Amino acid sequence: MAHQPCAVVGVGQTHHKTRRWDVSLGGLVREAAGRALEDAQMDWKDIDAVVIGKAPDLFEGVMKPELYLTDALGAAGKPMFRVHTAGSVGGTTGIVAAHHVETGRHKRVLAVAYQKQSEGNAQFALGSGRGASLGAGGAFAPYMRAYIARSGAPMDVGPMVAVKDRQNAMKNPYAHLKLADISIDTVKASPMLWDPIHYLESCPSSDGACAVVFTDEEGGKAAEKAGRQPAWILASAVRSEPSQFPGRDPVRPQGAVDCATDVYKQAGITNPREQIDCAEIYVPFSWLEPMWLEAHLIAEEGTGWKMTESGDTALGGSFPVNMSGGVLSSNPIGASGLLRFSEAALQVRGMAGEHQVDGAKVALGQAYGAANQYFSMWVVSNSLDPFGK
Amino acid sequence: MPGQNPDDIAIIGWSISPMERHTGKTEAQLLLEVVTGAVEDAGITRREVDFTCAGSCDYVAGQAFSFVQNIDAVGAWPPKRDSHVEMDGAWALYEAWIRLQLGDIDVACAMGSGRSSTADPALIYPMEMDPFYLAPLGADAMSFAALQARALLDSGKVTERQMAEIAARTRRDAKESPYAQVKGDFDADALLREDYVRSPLRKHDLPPITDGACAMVIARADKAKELCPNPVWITGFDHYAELHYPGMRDLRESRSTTLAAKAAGIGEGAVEVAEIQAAFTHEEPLLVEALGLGADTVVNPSGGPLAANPIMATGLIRIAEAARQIRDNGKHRTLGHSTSGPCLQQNLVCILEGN
Amino acid sequence: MPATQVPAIAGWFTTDDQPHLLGTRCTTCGTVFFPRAEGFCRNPSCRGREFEETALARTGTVWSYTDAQYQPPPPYVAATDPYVPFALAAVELSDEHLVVLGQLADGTTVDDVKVGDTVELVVEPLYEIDGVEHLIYRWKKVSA
Repeated sequence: MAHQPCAVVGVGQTHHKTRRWDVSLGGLVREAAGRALEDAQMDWKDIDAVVIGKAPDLFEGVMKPELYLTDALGAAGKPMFRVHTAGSVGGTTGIVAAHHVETGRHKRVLAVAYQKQSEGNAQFALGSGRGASLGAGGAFAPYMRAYIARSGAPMDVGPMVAVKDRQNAMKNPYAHLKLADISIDTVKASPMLWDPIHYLESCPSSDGACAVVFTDEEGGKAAEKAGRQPAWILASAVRSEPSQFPGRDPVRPQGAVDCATDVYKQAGITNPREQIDCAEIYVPFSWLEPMWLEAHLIAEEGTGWKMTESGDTALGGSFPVNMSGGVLSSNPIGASGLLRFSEAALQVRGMAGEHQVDGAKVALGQAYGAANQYFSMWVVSNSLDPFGK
Repeated sequence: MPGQNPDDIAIIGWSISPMERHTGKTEAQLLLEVVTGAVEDAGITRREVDFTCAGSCDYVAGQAFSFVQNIDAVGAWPPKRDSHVEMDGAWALYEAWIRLQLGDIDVACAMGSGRSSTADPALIYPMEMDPFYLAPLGADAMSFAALQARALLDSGKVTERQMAEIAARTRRDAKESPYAQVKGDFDADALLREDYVRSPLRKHDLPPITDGACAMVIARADKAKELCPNPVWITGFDHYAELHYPGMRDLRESRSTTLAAKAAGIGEGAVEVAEIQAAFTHEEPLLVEALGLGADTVVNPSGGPLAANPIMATGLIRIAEAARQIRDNGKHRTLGHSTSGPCLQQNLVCILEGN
Repeated sequence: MPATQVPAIAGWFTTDDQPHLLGTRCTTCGTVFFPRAEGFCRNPSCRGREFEETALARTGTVWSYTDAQYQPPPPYVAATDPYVPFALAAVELSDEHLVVLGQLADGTTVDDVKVGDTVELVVEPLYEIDGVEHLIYRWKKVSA
């Protein structure tokens, strides 16, 4: 009973905001899950198992929240599971949920990822212990500076990413940041947080949730027949590597390269730049866009920034990246990975509304976590065989 | 006959750390030792492990992202396919078991670890309750367990004497185990003269606070048979959750345990030994009944959680102990159980068989 | 009269005129760790459990750098009020090739360094609490 096909037939997300104090944790996840079920034309009772994912519980002050959320997610009387792989967790949540279908274990699985950061002190929870004074941006800033030094990229590239993603977010009704007047100048004029990261090149802290309904080949084809295009999972992969050791390269981590190599091989992709139509990747600070494009073998080493600078990664470009506005526009940390995976699915289903890439057939979703150590990726398509193997 | 299907998965090695009230080691060091022990027990090296999955809890560790440091223990270089659950290692094993069924990789290592000594459980466990209606009560895991014990006592399903006898029996059985923290001979009459800690629970009804870890290696059928003369086959593996609020459940039963056991195929043969995560004495008869076990089934010969309770590893250790009964003790069919949440809210059953 | 001085973290660096970072070296495979590794060797190919203390190179090259432009939240203790941003450098040690993160020497900003510059280890006061000066290691640019 090896790997069976798995389809995404429902996607839901919340309106991401700094504070969703209009809902409890239960309300937040139900908002996303309810939308996903509606999209899938299913009811709570149709779901066989629930997989929840989120980043540290210290963000909300509720330990092992899947226990409390069992009721809200209709998981009573069902198998229920909770994964936690730092920032990549949203991606891992989707992958683990998909595995339950791909192994034939369950027919319909609901994956939910969320974070309600306003309930706690995100800085403290992110920092932890002696590293607390660095802040997330402080930890990543040196990697970006090293990338800039190695690649010779012009300093405007970071601000360009920030502008592009926020302009895309204007076309995403769920996105947190709506910065209609953002420009390279306003980004460069905004306060410097950790050199070279300006305030307007940093992700917000958001409350939000994302939910996905997975089903099997039969369910996917039934949805397709009923005029509801599924997204088929062509491939998925994860990799983890240790935090620090002599010779580790956090700018182009081996785990990033290996995860991409694995997922492309499974999907039958030999030329990612050409065969992938668009990508949603985890970019919480601007410079990670060119860095991930290189580490995931879409751009040659040292040239990722050229894709940004030339407009390739813009919504209308030849390789759109973060059409939804990405993590730079909405960052409920635990959900962000699943949002990337979901937005990739929405693209190939033709359901991305104003931020749709015309004719998107194959899309990449990626999430990362910790100090560029945890990676989860998937490739989705509206066809089970887009490259005509 | 288990092992005939290439998708069949077997346990081929494991290792349990010393069980201590207060370890001097970091969680990563504990895990390093059990992962080393488990791969050696399986006759392989870390390189041959294709997928790793750990179970641990930030709040128990007292730090966000605590599992990130633990990645050193698995030797994730070259980078590994790896995952983590904020649940007991028994659920990490479940994720690894699912992963191997995809068929592209052969060997996985699941882990569970926890250092409960660094905090006061009475402060932490209220935080796993509904934050609006239950957490403010300040009721911790012991208090909820006490509520369930009271329901059982009042229904006549168990007596305080029976609970004391379970406390004595498990600690006596634990004398044989190098992995037990609380062991010895106790007299039920003397135990019953003690004061309540949380009525109707006395000290002997409660598990110890333990630091510890466990790692377990599993493999697909062909690989398992190649590496191991006596693989322990996982022939059933399921878990179910119930409603969170103890007030909305009948606390005299454990429905999700019954569901999980049935789905795992418990009725397909006799269960000779059951290692169950009964951390409180009254939970043992409750779970035994929910599992439908007969008087012939030996329960917790290792001493169970009443002898050593390293939260986040306790469940995986039950499965390891159940596997030990098959591989080292000549048994044919055994069961490991794990639980999570107030009053046994979520339950997992793993059924094992020998050749 | 200088206040009592203590290293902000004991055992990580010396405080003499030619200060060193103190790491540990695995006696089995030779891998050097900073901060100190105890108990087991993190090299996945090594099963060593014994370490010897080793003084690390005093100089290195700047691998990267950044600064903290806004005051970090507690438990961070600001040395001055109002807060003055501090700069950090990730330095690749000349002998061991470990990349070690540390603050830049007092008065140095991100405008004063670039990737590839040579720096050396100095020890300077971090903050004072109850008459006790806590010392920290920092990286100081070596003039050409």
